[in-house]
This record gives sequence, C-alpha cells and structure tokens, in this order.
Amino acid sequence: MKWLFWWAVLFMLVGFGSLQAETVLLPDVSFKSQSPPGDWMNNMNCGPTAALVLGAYYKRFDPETADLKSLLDWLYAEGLIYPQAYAEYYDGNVTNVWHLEQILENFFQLGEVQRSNNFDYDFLRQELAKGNPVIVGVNINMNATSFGHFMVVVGLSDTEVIVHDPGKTYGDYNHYSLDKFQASWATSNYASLVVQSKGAVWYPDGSLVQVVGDNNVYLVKDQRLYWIKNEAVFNAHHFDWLKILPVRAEVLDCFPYGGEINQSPYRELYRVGDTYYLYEKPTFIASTCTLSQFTSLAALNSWKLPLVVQEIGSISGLYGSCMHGTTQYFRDGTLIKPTEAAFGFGEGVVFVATNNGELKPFVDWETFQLMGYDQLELFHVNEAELQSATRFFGEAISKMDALFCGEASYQIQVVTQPESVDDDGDGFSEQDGDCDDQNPSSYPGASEICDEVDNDCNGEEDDGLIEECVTSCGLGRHYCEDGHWNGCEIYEFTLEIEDGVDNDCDGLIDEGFVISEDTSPLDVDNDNDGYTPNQGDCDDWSPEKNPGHPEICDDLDNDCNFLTDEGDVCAEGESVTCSFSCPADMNAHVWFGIASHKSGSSLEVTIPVSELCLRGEPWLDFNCVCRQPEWSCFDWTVAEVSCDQTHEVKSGVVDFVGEGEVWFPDLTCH
Amino acid sequence: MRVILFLTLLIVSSACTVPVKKITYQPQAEIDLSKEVFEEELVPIQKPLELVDAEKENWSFQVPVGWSLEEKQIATELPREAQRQLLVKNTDKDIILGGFLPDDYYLEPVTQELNVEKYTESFIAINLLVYEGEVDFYDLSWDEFFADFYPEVKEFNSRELLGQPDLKAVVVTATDGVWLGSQRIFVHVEDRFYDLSLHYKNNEVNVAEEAFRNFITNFQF
Repeated sequence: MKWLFWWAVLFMLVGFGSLQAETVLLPDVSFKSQSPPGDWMNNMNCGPTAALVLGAYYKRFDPETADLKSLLDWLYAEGLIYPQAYAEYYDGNVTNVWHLEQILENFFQLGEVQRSNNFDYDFLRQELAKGNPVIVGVNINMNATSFGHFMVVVGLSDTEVIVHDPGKTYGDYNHYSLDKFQASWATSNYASLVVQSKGAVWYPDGSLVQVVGDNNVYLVKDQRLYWIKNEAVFNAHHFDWLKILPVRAEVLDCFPYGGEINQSPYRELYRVGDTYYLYEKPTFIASTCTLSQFTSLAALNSWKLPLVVQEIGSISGLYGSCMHGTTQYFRDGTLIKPTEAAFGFGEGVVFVATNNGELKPFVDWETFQLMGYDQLELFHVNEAELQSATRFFGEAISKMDALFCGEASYQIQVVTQPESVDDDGDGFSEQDGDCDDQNPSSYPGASEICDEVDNDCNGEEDDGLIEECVTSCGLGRHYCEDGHWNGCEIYEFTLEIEDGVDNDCDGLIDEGFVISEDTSPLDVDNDNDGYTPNQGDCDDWSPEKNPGHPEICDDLDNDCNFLTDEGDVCAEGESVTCSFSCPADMNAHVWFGIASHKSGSSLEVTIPVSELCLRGEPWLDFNCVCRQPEWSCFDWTVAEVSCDQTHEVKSGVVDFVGEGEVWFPDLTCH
Repeated sequence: MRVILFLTLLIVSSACTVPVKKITYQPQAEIDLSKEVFEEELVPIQKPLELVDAEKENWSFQVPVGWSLEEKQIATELPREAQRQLLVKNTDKDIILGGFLPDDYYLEPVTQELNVEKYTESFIAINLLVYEGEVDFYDLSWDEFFADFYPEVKEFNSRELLGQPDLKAVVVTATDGVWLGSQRIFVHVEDRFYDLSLHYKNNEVNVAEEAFRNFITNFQF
C-alpha cells in the first residue's frame, strides 16, 4: 500500500496543474555489489556489476552473486576479459564501456547499440525521468584523484547525484555532491551508458491511442490493439475524441494486433425507475440485440452517451427479445477523480477505469504524466458514486508498468568519447579529423566552398577559391573574400580598337590611335562626344561637357556656356531610394555620405545623389544588427535590399569588413 | 596476505645485496613485529634495481633508473580528495590502475588490439596520494581519516616502516569495498597523510616489491 502514501502526498497537486519534481529518483533499482564473488582485494568487477544492475532492472530480477558469476563466466568464455594473474578467479578484470555494451546487448539481449554525446545533467535527468538508470565512468568514492570505477546513476537532484556504487557492500543509493560527481565523471570523459526504452508505454484496456502523425485510432481491448475503422464507427461507439492518447509509434509493438472495429452499433437508452439500461444492436439492421444494465447513474454518465433516455414501465419486454448483456460499470478508459478522500485513498487520487469496473490508481504523478493522462479530462465523482460503479480497486500503475509493455524493445545508447561521435552526421567524427563536428559541410575531403569556413579541414578557410570570369572589359578572376565572391578582377584587358568605345574600360575611348599629322588637335574629338574644341567643346576629354550637353547638377559647366549648374538644376537634385529589410529580431542600419546614419526594423531611405557622392563614389553601407542585446550580432547577408536605381550589393571591403555595401554603377559623382 | 607479505618484506634491509628471502607471515590478533614468526626459503638471486635520486614537491626519494615520475594533475580542489598525486612507473606510456578502461584503450575493441602507442599492459607503478591542508590533519586520528576519505576501510593495523621507525604507518586489513593495489600503506607525518600503493601487471613481483620497498625506505616524508 505504499502507493497510498504517494497519492496522499503527490496527488494533492493534480488539480493545480503539473508537478515538476526537483529530485528524480528510481526507487526500484535492485543493487548488487561487485564482491562477492571474489574478494575486495583488486576486484575489478565494477563494470560487469553495473551492467548486471541494468540487466536485472530491465529483465526484472534481483541480481545475485550467482548472476555475477555467470556473467563473468560468459565474459571469460567469450574472451572479452581474462582472469587477473594475481587475484581470485572471480575478481574479474578491467572493462570499458564497450564491454558493458556487449553485456547488455549480447548477454542480456536488450537491444541494439546507439551512440551519442549527451553528457550533461539534462541528459541524466531525462533518462531517469524515463525510468532509465545510467552507468557512468567515475572513480572510487567519487574521488577524482582515486582509481577509475563504474557506478550507476539512479537519482539526481539540484545538488546531488544518487548512485548505486558496486564498489561497496552498502553501495545502494549513495549520495554525492554534483561538484564531486562532475569532477569525477570528467576523468572518464563523461563516459556513460544507458539502456533506453523507446518510449513504448503500456495502456490498460479501454484506452484509445493514436500514433502522433497518424490518422489511425486504436482501442486497447483485452491487451490487444483494435483499429477503429473510420469516424462513423468511432462515433457510433460513442467514443470520446478527447480521450485519445497521443503515443509514439513504438506502442504498436507493445500490443498484438487484434483486428478492426468496423461495425457501427445501434444504441438506445432506457430507464425503469432508477435503473438504466443500454439497448444495443451490432448494426442498425441487425436482428439481434443485447440489453445491459448500468450499475448506477454515475456509471451511465461516465459513458457520455448522447442519447435520449426513454422511460418505460417495465423492462421485461425488452429482456424477452434481447440477450442479457454484461453489467456496465465506469466506462473503460475513463479517468475517475473522487471529489474527496474515499476508501482510504488520498484526496488527490485519480483512477483509470478498466476491465469493466476495475479502478487502477497511479503510483505517482510522473507515471500519470508519462502515460499522457495529464492531458485528458477527469470524471469527478463522490464516494457514493465511486462505490456505485466500481467492481474493485486494482493494483496501482507504476512507472515500470507504464514503460515496459509486453515484448518491448530497447535501444542502447552509449556515450563514451565525444570525439569519436559523428555529431553532424557527415560521416566524420572529431577523431576522424572533422574540424567542425557541428557543421555537416566540414569534413576531411569536403569541397571548399565560399562560406568563410574550412570545409575540407586543411586548416584554411575558403582557400583556393578562384574562378575565371569574362566581361566586356576583358578576362578576369573571381576571388572568394570573407565568404563572398568579389567582382571580376580583370587581368587581361580587351584590346582598345578605334570604334568610339572604351573597350578596355580605362576611361578613355580609342586612345592610342594615330591621328593624321595634318589634323589640328582642335579638330579632334577626343572624348567622342560629337564635339571638337573647334566646335565649342570646352573639355574634349570629358563626354559630359560639350555644347550639346544639358546642364546638370554636378558642379561642372556641362553645356560649355561658361556657367556652372546654372538654371536651378541643383534645386531638385537626383536621389536614390533604397529599402532594407532584416529578420524580425534585427534592425537595419544604413550609413551614407560623411556621417549620415539611419536605422529601423524595416528601413526605406531616400538619399540625394549629391550626398551619396560625398564619399567620392556613389555608394552606401548597411547591416542587419541584433536587437537583444543591441549589436550582440550582425549579419548583412540576411538583409533584403532593393533600390530604384541600378545597384550592386557587395561585401564591405572598402569601409568595414562585416558590412554590406550598395554601389550604383550608373551614377557618376563629379 | 599480499599486504602482509609486503610488510614483512619491508624489514628485510639486505635484499639488494644478499639472496632474497621469501617470508611468510603467520597472522596474529595483535600485530607485534617482535613476535612474528617467519618461515624462510631461498629464492633466486635477482639483480638489484639501480636507484637514482629524485625530487618532487620538496620531497626527496629514489626511483629506479629509467623510470618515469609523473605528477598527476589534480582535477579539482574539492574537499575530501587528495591534494597531490605522484605516479612512479617503469614506463612512459599510460597505465590503468582502476577498473575503468578508457575508450581508446583498445584500437579495435572486438579483437582487443591494444593501443600500444598510448598504453601498456606491462608495468610496475607506485601511486602516491597526499592529503593535506583541508582539515587539521595534524591531530586527525586514523579512524577519522579513514572515515572521511576511505569509508570502505573497516580494519587496519599499525606498521613500522623500514628505516623510518618513528613514522606512524598503517595497513588496511579489512574493507567492505573494493581495495586496489597489490600492496598499500598509509603514513601520517605531521599535517599530512600519505597513501602509497603498488601496482603491477605482467611484471616480476619481486622487482615490483623491491621498487616499492626502496621507494618507501628512501622517501623523506
């Protein structure tokens, strides 16, 4: 009746929401010391004993000396360890996690091996919460300066770890401070091993379960799973959609498949005096019927039948034509919550109805929560109602009951050297030379890409990333700089020809071509703007200055009338409008001109070209900056930039590396 | 019995120069060296270990020529742990003293192919743990010391150290927990406790015990 106490204490909180226990403890892990067999002198059985403790826990037996001897015999026979030269035969020998893995997998046949590098307290807490004790590599007496040793973690609080220490006669549930444990655990590089159930949970008869992500709903009946064929069948049985428990796929391995429920029963409710009856036919058109009596109104109400109760004077007529059905108690699968302490149970107790009238309480809140019942509606009854619809109170459901269903399978998770674990799934661990085991694009032999990362693990980022490129100006090369490809740098310019075009992009047109000796220099149109000096071109090397050019706001005498920017051309200057959009948690920042700066979550700026050109070239720089805290990070590449002028977005190599730049190639600064 | 054998060996001061005597100790209820009964038999002459002076942490002692001396890193400064640790061994490679093997001990676990670049399975080692500073070790009794640091110890007996009769030393005779080290002795000097243990594997026991004996005899506690 230990669970009565638990209920009195723990289930006081059911009605007030969830209970987050600070201490996770597995109270039912049987202990075995590593001696006997052998003696304590140079006994090396800590590893096999720790594995035995787990094997016994999952196989549900109490580990004895004979079990440890059998295990050692097996280890010797398999050649996994050899007896020590100067010790007793059953003193065993040193072992590592791999040996223990072999024991769990092949001796106890608990499942397949999986490796990961969860080595923090959350990992331990989560495993314990799932009912899994964890083997850890530590030291004798949890003393980091002592000899290497295996223990089994069976509990954890905010300040202490609770272990089974096979190295002591009285090694069960020993407490050590977390500081001491952490220091000791670190000496083994946080070696740990856990037999992890796949989360398959047992459910009592009457439960409705549905695998997450699947449409199929099953009824647990006679400890088998019956598939409820469709919604119409579900509704015809008056199952409650709110009673469906979301479960993991592994639960389907827990129960044998019973078949499908494909018929829609026809039901009517009758009342004779204070007695209620359920009239039921397998289908509407079936000729056979069954008449079942509810033990009480509470029993009827637990069924939640949306039917009109028909009052009749006598049931004899119906009894004559129908078979007598089973007396109906609380409906299976219903969570029964007494409104007060009843029958010796604490006030907080909750039962699940099963086997037509059996009420099973839960050992603790964690079990209740583990099985997913905390998400379901409770059916509240008083003591009289409880008694009226209950056949008997069954055994309490423990976490062990919940976790280990039928032929449940287990997976073994081994945590040893984090360096040997391929964290990012790229096929290489740190031990294999992966220089960034959190980045699947980095591993030995990977192709180097332009991302500011050492992809091929040769010690250099973005090395060797040069590509040939061709523009109208000539042949060039792209270089990867700061994780971005730069513009095409021309190294072989296009040959300048006499065609009125600046072929080699040096700012000069048809330069180097011979002009006939009898031609006056004043008759040569050097800038190919259609005007020679003799024709009034006041600057024959600038196509923006000639008698036919309109005056524009550029501080030049464009139309060669000896006046600069006349006619109010600067009154309404040309401008550029750009918008910058950053992710929700970032602000956009834009800098332009000499010291102009704007920022905002979504930014649109209009900048006069004259201001834009204060830098000598038409460009601005921008960035996306984290808000909380301000400037805790920045990344210009996440910005979306659009402008009303032709523009190029580049990495900020002129002003400040880490910023983006917008250049306007069609704008000219004068 | 191995502990007792070791202790009796400690009093044989001429082991390096005369044929070594193997001594069997007949245990008695109260340890009184003057009353111990020895049976002697001759064992083959072995070449004595050549020793060299060594110093570490202001201690001077002797180790066999060619042996390595390692001041092991103390992982933390947590209470109830040794403050200093010295490991003397006849190899430069790593060795395993406890029941836990690190994962890289075998290159190939299935075939148990030893990682010979890092570890060796043939060694003699002397492990020295020093407890000091945390509590008033000067007045701490043996009972208190073991209760604090070695709770698995249930019985112990006093011993006289060879060549250092004034020192307080004990050997543990009963535990209810695992007890590693083929020989192990505790020494209390002023405000320090010393835990000295001998470990060997695939090596001659006589050589190992001689090395341990020499180490203790020459150690300036």
